[in-house]
Amino acid sequence: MARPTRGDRDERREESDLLALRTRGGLTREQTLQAALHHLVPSWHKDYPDSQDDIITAVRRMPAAEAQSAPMPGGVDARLVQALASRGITDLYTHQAAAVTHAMAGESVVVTTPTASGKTLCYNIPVLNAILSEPSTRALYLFPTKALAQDQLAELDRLAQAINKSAGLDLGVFTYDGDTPQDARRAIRARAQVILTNPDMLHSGILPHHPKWARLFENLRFIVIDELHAYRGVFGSHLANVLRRLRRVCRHYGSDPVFVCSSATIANPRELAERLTERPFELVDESGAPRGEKYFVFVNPPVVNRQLGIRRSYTQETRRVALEFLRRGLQIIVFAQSRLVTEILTRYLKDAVQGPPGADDVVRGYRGGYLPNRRREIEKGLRDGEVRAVVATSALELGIDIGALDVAVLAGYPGTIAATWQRAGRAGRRAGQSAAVLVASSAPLDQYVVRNPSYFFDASPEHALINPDNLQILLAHIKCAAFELPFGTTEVFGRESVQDILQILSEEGLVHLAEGQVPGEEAHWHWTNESYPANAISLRSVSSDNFVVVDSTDHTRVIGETDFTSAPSTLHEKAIYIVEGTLYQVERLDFENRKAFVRQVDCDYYTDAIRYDRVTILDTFETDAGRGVSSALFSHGEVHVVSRVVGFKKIKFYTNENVGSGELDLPEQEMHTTGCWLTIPRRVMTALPYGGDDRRDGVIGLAFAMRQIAQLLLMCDRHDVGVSIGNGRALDVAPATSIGGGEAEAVGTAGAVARVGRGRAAGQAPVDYDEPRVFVYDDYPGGIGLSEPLFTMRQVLLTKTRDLIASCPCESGCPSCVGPLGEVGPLAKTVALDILTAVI
Amino acid sequence: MDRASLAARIQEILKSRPKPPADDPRADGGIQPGPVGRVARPPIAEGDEEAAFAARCAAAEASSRVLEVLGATLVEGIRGPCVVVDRSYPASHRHGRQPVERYLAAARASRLVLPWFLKGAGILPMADGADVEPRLLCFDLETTGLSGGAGTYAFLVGFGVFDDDGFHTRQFFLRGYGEERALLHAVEDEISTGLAERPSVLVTYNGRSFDVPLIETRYQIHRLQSPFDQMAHVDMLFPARRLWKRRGPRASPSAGGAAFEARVRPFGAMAPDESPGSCALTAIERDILGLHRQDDVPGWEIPARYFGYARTGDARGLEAVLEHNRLDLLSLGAVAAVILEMVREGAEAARERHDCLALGRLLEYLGRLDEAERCFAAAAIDDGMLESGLDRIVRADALHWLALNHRRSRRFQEAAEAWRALTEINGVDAELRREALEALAIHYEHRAKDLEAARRFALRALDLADDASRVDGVRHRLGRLSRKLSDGPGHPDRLRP
Repeated sequence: MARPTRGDRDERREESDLLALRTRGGLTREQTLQAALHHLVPSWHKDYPDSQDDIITAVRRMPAAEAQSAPMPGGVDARLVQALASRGITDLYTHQAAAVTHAMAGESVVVTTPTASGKTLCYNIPVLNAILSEPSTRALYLFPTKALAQDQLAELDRLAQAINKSAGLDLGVFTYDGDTPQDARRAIRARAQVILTNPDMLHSGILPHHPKWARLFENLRFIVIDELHAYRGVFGSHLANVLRRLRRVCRHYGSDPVFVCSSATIANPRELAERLTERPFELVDESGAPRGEKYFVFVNPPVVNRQLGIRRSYTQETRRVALEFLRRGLQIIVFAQSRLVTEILTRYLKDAVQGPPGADDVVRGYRGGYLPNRRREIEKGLRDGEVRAVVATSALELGIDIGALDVAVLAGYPGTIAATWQRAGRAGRRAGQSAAVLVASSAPLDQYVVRNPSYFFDASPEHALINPDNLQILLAHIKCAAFELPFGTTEVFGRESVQDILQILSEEGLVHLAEGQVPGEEAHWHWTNESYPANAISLRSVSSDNFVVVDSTDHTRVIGETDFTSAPSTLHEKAIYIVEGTLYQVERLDFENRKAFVRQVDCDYYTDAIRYDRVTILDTFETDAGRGVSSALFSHGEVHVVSRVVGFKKIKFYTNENVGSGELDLPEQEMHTTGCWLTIPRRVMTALPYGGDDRRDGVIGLAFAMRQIAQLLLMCDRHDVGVSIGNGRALDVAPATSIGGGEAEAVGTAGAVARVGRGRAAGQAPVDYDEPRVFVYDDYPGGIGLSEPLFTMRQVLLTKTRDLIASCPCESGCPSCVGPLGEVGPLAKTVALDILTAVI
Repeated sequence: MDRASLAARIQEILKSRPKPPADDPRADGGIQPGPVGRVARPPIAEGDEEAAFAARCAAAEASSRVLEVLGATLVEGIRGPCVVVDRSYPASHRHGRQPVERYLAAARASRLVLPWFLKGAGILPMADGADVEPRLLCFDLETTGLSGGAGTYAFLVGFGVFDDDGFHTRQFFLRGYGEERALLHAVEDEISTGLAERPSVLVTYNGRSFDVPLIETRYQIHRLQSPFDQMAHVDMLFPARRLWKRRGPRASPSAGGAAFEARVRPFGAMAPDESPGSCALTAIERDILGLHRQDDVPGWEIPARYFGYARTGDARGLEAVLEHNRLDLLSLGAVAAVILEMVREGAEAARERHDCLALGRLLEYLGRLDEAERCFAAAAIDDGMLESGLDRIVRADALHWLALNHRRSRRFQEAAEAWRALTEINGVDAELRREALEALAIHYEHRAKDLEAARRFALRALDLADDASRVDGVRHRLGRLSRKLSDGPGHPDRLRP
């Protein structure tokens, strides 16, 4: 059954909005939105200047834009033109026409345009057109998730059906993923002209079985990659290698497909597309789609204790802002920075919705780890308008169709400009007003952005970085590639020769060099192992393990899952695990079998794990000794990171008081990655006129601030880098203290911002602060290419860190510079500044 | 990164969990790059060195003698040479309890029933109708893995055929990875030459899901037309399962065709990794053919032996693999002969009630409903010899299938008799009995129009209904019967108050 089109849905939503009119007191949606904004911004003015107010630091109005159309490019098949016309499409938007023209000319193209700008036509037109002119043509669409592929299937299928109906054809459009029934797979392989799948299925289900897909690979003309910006970091580095394998297989079958990619706004869409596919690209980045008027408001929670630099909790502030809109009957989405905060805010909003039992179902949580059924139900509720508020993590940032909402509230700065726009774009329609509100936490990066709105509104968004030649990732895919087709002795994989690696793999018995039979025929490296290498490799992480959460309250059932790396900090014994506001306590963590058994509880606190990291230097690539006598050493290279969750804190809802703690004994997790580090020379440390504790506080404070600046400079996600202090030696007796990693940082309250502190887990000796090192490392095994750029920006890193601390208005340290007083000592700010002044 | 450190890093990654070198002095923030770990090489003691040298010499010698070691010949094809190993098992050779000639004769008589196995699955290319005896082409691969996919190679392609003299195997061996294309051409030649002589049917054991897709994949990779895709193909695993899956706990003789006097081992003598009723070829050949292999290569060891050969060229470890493959081929031919003969002889072939039932199920699967019915009827005979509980269970099962068969042919009275006979056996599975009682209730309500009898059966079925939906179903029937009994004034069988 065909799903309603976006237009239909908007109409239906208007109906359900009518139901909400009662709460809106007879006002229109626009009037209600205006009323809420006026209430939120007491001195409302249409062109509110930035930074006039300590609390409302920016109000920007983004005017509505008219559609810019272009005629359908020449050469589009008449049957397709007719089918489009039957769906009300005669002209294209300018960006659609440009993309279609490039693709039809055989040029790979990447389109970056905002949400709901009709990007799917950019690839559906050239693909269907090619199939109409040559029915043997095949196209492969890649979406980052199965759900997105299903979403797009519905849309593409409607267009294909329109053609089938009018032209009497039988175009085959299918999804092919882990959910495809076994008995349907053969038929799909034979007759699908367009296959919608995800990189994981391509990697483990299609490429290793390429002979079965010979028809696809022989006739593959187009590869569509949607949501290109999702392929950053580890996932992107994996995808680049999957695409290397794909193109190798295509070469074998004699095809050379064109890529059509679409991306949200990032700084380097063309570069990302070219690095992922290793081919030249055309860029289309001027949207011709119309959009409605939108307001963007920055809210900084008020300072409640100037001396300690403590602001009102941003979760509480988010609650207040969200309720302004929710209570007026507007449909909202609240984005939180972590799963934990998502659950806390869901609970806050549910608590605030009064009514009969079940009334709070209008508020839902949404995050990774929920089971698919629950997610589909929430998405449908949002489209139908039955769900009035959803609190989500970045899981809803990607293009899952939830329709367009009225208001997006961002609890905390998402960490990157691109992600902020992407989330804000969840509110807004082609016509009519919408709003986005950013509520800053007291984390330094949030404070920097909210106090300098032009950094956000006027700067270019981030670069998406990948490192396809990360040895661990590269090696995994070379194994898969050798399984798929033997390697020639002059063959390259990506940009590099892989002969050395193949030689080493052959010493390990995984491949074998065999001569060709015919004289002059090239020798080849053949796979000589029983295993099916793709099975052991997950594209989403470095380890493919995950933990399931089993609720044993009444009868045993699985209620969620968590990836391997975050399991120790979220599923340790006595941890409070929250699903849509319902609290569970972990009774037992079965590490062997990757299961956590939980039971529903009623308590007024949540838990926050304490993690320690220890960094060991394995190999130094480069060191800058600086010019002055007391200059710090700055280096980058390979490091080994061991982290361990050693305990947890109990934190009370609403007040965020620390109401208890516990110790834990969990296995260590370790990885090999790249990092860069500042070595503070002994003479600088010993010259400081302070006691040992104060000197240590200074280093901790410096590291705390440096993390934020590193994130800003690298324009990466806050989870992409780890920061830690140590000496870097192998058998270091002194564990480094981790700076602000994990979930608690996102809570951003005075008590929980950083776990840098005087309190240290029992049995762990202190770091030697005579010559400490501050490490900033890629928080992924093998590294994702962040530490080298950071090394080249080392001077800026140090001076900006000094500026951040020096310009902070607090007296002696606060969560917005060196960390909250109480967790660092009273002299942290002064000492940190002294150290920086000495080493710069 | 230099090669040594690259090698060290790769070894570390392959070991999957990276560990820092505990005592590496360079880890102390040292500046100079260098290898992280050391390549671990087992130290060679002085005395071992000579032995190792001798071993290497022997291997080198062996590698130049692949043909000799395997007893093979090099056949020059148009696409290059291919290593071929031919062997024959004479008619007098014993394989299990029987000589090859016994299987040979059984297979020869199979032309009558072979087409039954091919319904819809492939056309038997008969030259002049059914008079030509088709050739059974036994086919079995040895591969570098079980996972399938493009990286699993077939390094040994084995064929076996019966002729007047006995059983003949021909194996195509992949001497080097680079020679695969020549091997595939040689295999294609073999098939087409054979086909030109006589129509052939490919006979495999689990070939439908493993051997045939795997070899077709190899042809596809080389972008060659596979000679297998048009061939008539019988996978003996499916009939074998129907016949012998439930043989496990029985200690009675003659699980195979009567003429083969097969003996099933007493329950409990199974290999430790085997489930009761295993239908793996090794289990079937042991239980049905009575073959006990000596010094056979375990299947899991085969890929490693080939990889070892590929690296060293020393084929001595592979002779046993080729022998394993030949025995598989011969067992496959023998099992096929047994199955074909049983199917041909039908009910007469089976001595035991249990075998008769299994054969009926197989015939039914082959679409031979009349033959199947005869087997069920034979298995359902009450000869006054129902001593064991097992016999009763088998008989009940046979009655069940017999009844279904009758009902399908719309012989309702006979179906009812079978159901009724079933309900009169003691110790029958409750579910089977409930099904029979319900079938009888339906029969008496709708066919025999004896409402009271229908009600009696329905009430008995209610006693046995174990889940809610079944209970509801029977209640519903009882309600309707009561209404008919009270509301139908003209009905002769009306219940009196």
